[in-house]
Amino acid sequence: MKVLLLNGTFKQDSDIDKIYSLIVDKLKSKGFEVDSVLLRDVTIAACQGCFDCWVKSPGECRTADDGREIAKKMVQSNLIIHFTPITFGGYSSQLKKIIDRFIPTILPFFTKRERETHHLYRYQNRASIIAIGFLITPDEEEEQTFKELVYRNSLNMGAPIHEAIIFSKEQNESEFLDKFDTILQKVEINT
Amino acid sequence: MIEKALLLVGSPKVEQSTSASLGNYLISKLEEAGMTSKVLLIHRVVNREDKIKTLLDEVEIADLIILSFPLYVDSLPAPVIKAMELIRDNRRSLKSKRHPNFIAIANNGFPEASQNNVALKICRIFSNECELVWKGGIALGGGGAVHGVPLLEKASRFRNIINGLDLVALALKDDKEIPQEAYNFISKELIPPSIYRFFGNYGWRSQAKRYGVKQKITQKPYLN
Repeated sequence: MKVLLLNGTFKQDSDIDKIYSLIVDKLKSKGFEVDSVLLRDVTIAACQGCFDCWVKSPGECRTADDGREIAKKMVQSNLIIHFTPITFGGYSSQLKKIIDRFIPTILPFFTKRERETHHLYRYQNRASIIAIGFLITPDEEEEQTFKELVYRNSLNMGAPIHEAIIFSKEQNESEFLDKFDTILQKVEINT
Repeated sequence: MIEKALLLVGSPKVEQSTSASLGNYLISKLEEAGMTSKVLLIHRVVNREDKIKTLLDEVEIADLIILSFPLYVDSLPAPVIKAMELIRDNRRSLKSKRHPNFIAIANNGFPEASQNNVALKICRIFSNECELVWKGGIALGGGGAVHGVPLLEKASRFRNIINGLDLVALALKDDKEIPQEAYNFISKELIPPSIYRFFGNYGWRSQAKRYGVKQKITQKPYLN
């Protein structure tokens, strides 16, 4: 199984480096092919909202930077992991800059899904999403918003499985890893 | 006393965006009510040190901050989140600070305004974390129909949006929260979703044809 691990932390988030290492170790111990990207160290321009990737160069962003390459890796993965400090209930700007650049991987055409308008998918095989968010202290409103965001991402990007895991400083690491492992098994079965 | 309004436009299409159209109309109504205003284009600010300082300073002297942005993948565009992180970090570092009012205006390219709701929740949490005073959020679906046009140029077509923003301006000048009625006006569908989808799909095909890629519109270049 191919896993793309997107690390949206900042330098000051060193508190969560350890949990990140545990995640990488867990994935490797299961024999997965892991591609880990520290987003703050790569060049990803902001999406310009030009829609060239839909109507001028279909499926490809006109900006030839790391963002294009990471989007390509996303398409070729079975699982994407969003790793982020929970920021106002959502993703950090580091993680969001690549999420915005995933637009070429869907089609411009509209369809109705879950009683709403969404875009058709460009690719038949699509990655599951596990979003792992860190909160310094538990916060009900932020946790709920984060889960809703991950659900909506799964709807728009066509993820067969989606899960949001939230952990805080107070949480037990082994408890987190058990939960992570259970979700990985679910993804494996569906891949 | 609400005197100074700051409009933050969070679209990469800057002055030509629907976000600017909505924000500028609201600002014009607030100016009629006696407020002064300042407009900053976030995409031209967040990667420049000198401009970031201006952003942070303007936030600290404003009485009212209006954030107008397009929905990008269920949330706010990355540069807007970066601006919010910068504002939060700056306000955390201040020993004493004022507590300006804050509202958010979200627009998206789907006919359903409700698809903006998660982004508006993110704005509310940001407001609370920064100790701003949350006065509410409004949501527009089918933002592509506005397409950066000043609202008064097509006043009859955009009457619900205009009526809603008029109510928002009335509430803000009196230091009140955005009323539900304003939200209801602005979030009314411009056209039924099924018709939006039909004409939207026709529009995408037409654009692809114009650029000579109609037959390639579903191609899959990232497979290899």
